[in-house]
Amino acid sequence: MSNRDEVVVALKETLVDRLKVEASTITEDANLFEDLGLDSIDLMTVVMAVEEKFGIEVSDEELEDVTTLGQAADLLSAKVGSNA
Amino acid sequence: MPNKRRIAVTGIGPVTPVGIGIDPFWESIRAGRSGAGHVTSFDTTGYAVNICAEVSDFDIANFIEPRRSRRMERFTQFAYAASKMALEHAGLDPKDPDPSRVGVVIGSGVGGLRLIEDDTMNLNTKGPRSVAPDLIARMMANSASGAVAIEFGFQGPNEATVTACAASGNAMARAIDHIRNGHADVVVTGGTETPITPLGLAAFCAARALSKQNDDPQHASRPFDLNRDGFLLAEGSTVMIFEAWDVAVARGATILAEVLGYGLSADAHHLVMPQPEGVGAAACMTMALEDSELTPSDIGYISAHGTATSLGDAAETKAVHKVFGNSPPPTSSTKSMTGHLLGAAGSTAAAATVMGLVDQILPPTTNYETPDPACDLDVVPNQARPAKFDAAIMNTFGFGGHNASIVFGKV
Repeated sequence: MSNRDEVVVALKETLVDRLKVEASTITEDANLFEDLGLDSIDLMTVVMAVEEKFGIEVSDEELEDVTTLGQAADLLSAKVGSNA
Repeated sequence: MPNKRRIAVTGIGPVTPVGIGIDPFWESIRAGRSGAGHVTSFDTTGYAVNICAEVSDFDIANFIEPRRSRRMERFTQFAYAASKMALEHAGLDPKDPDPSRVGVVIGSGVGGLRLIEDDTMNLNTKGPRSVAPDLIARMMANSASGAVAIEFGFQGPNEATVTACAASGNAMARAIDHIRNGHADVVVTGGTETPITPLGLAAFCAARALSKQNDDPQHASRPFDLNRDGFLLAEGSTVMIFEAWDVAVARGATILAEVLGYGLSADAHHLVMPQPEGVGAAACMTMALEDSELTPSDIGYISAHGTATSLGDAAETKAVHKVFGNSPPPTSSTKSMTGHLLGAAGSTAAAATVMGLVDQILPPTTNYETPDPACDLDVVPNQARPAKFDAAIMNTFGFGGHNASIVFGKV
């Protein structure tokens, strides 16, 4: 599995297990806020879970433009890659 | 003094160690059934006490979809479930009343203690970036009051009272004020607590407050008995619907009891010990009687705070004698069955008091074997008792020296 695939799996896991988002509604293009019903604290919860799992850090500024799962995966997997 | 707006109790929702829902709860109290057992939620190796009264078979998914409960700690889940059941018991569809006329006042001694413990561990082992972003929102004691309003859309006065084991008594007093003052027509009110956590149990053990009957949990809580040795730590929530009398009548609600008045006071004596002569408790009961426009002889039942501590039960006995004289009405403690629900203790005892008024039955003090001369009361020993009575007073007292009494009347 690529870094990005692993990040997507971790994101989905947190969305379903921790935030109780219905798994069938989660796609890469789904808007995290409008489609999946997240708020800013939820987004931080998801990001922190991935940060911890992969030993990376994302700044608040970098997260500002993230609105979809795919964008979050791009941002986070780039960090994982640069750490490798 | 202008006439006070009358208040009805129209619904009760208990989430307690002796039952979830009003029918199982009341059936247990009438039967004298204990909710005690051993701690199951964590390893108690090294603890002086390993008994408690847990709410078993509780699943928040039975009350709300998981997505909506993601930010509810266990104490908030209890309060939400209790509120939902109380509204159903009252026959009140949350969508029916003007939402700005419905308030929520739910007290808690602490709030989400377990979450604080877990995130303190995260902080110490993994650093500040590992602390949950929603820690504050979930652990704060007012999270329950806030969540109940959010889920049902109630926009009236909303607050959480934090007066330790008097918290739900103070909550009900606030609810009475909101309705009397015209700030709300309906108030969802009570208390919630989840103190059975690694830190919570350790702290109460260290304070030497708990019964040590580890081999016999069901008989550990012995209010007013000579051999009482401390209280049984319990968790749960009981929420009631207080409703302006005219509003309840207008919608054809079944009125369970009338809320006649309340008293509040402080011992101003010691953070954890009661004033030994029961002065503060007596002042509280006297204020409640005056507020209810009743005399001591009108009261047919006292629901005691009666936690089964040596000092507390003796001081409350003195307070009862100060107010009611040499022949006080029957005085029992349902904590003999439920254990001590701390911030939910008052509303849980109030639930038994209201149902007692409805069915004309005095809840018993179970585990009563050996009378204590320092507690010379008719404690309704071991068996519920039929009785004709028109009014009852419920006491609830807390660390910090807080006292609250609520008076209920038969319909």
